[in-house]
Amino acid sequence: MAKLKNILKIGDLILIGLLSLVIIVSFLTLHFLRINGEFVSIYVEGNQIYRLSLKEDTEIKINGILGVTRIRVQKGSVTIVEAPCPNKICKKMGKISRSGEILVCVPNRLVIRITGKMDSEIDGITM
Amino acid sequence: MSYRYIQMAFLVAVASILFTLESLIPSPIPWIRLGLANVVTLLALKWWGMKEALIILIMRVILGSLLSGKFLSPVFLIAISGGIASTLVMGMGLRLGERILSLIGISIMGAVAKNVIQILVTYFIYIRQIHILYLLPIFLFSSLITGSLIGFFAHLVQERISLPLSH
Repeated sequence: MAKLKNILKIGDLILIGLLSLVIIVSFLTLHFLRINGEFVSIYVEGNQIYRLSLKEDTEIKINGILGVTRIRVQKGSVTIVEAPCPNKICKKMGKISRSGEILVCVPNRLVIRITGKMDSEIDGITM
Repeated sequence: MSYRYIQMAFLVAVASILFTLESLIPSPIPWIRLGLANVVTLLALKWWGMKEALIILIMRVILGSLLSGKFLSPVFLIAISGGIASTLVMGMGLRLGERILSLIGISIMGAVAKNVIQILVTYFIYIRQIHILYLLPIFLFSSLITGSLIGFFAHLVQERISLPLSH
């Protein structure tokens, strides 16, 4: 059985170290920039078609490229309830509630984004 | 020469099977896959070179997408551009020399290149929303994990099999 110690070389260690550093710094930066969201913006093919308040519970239907997507706003968070795409990745992305978080459905060209009070471009993210 | 083509065709088959098998396993995290077929790309780069590895990769992505019914779909274009980018970067990594980098480091470089290119292609072609770039840290983290695993597997395989076989 190969020992990891014998496989790894100096370049690997430098690469892994640098990459880890970049990952930690970017996660921390995004974490500290995160705040609770106020609004939900829904985009199809890059155009904003809806802007809802996160405080009001609703359920809406969006016509995308493939068909109808049902989106639910409940208790300050947003989920995709029903999607027409084959993989349902957007459904699996779950709930989002904080400023800067997004749900994306690539086949449907749909992006749902939460924005804060000031609607700044640098908000933050989680999955 | 023709013997090499037979071996390349064999690797295309192996890669397509790995790719298809993996797509049958549901991923716990959306958008993130292990990329087992990249073991084949790494080995092809090591045994032959950039040209052969690219041919195998492109044929594998076409075959794999036909098998999963995604040929020429957005997913296909994202997969092929990421695959080409990672093959080119890994090829350059191998040229840097194996005294500095093992297959693990080379595979991590490939995984990072693949994820960066895929997110850029998604951004420029499908979703022109700067916010999807926020997903990058998560993709970088997954590159580190999947890249290391794939590199380790490739190392184990090339210790046991030495292609190109002479006959």
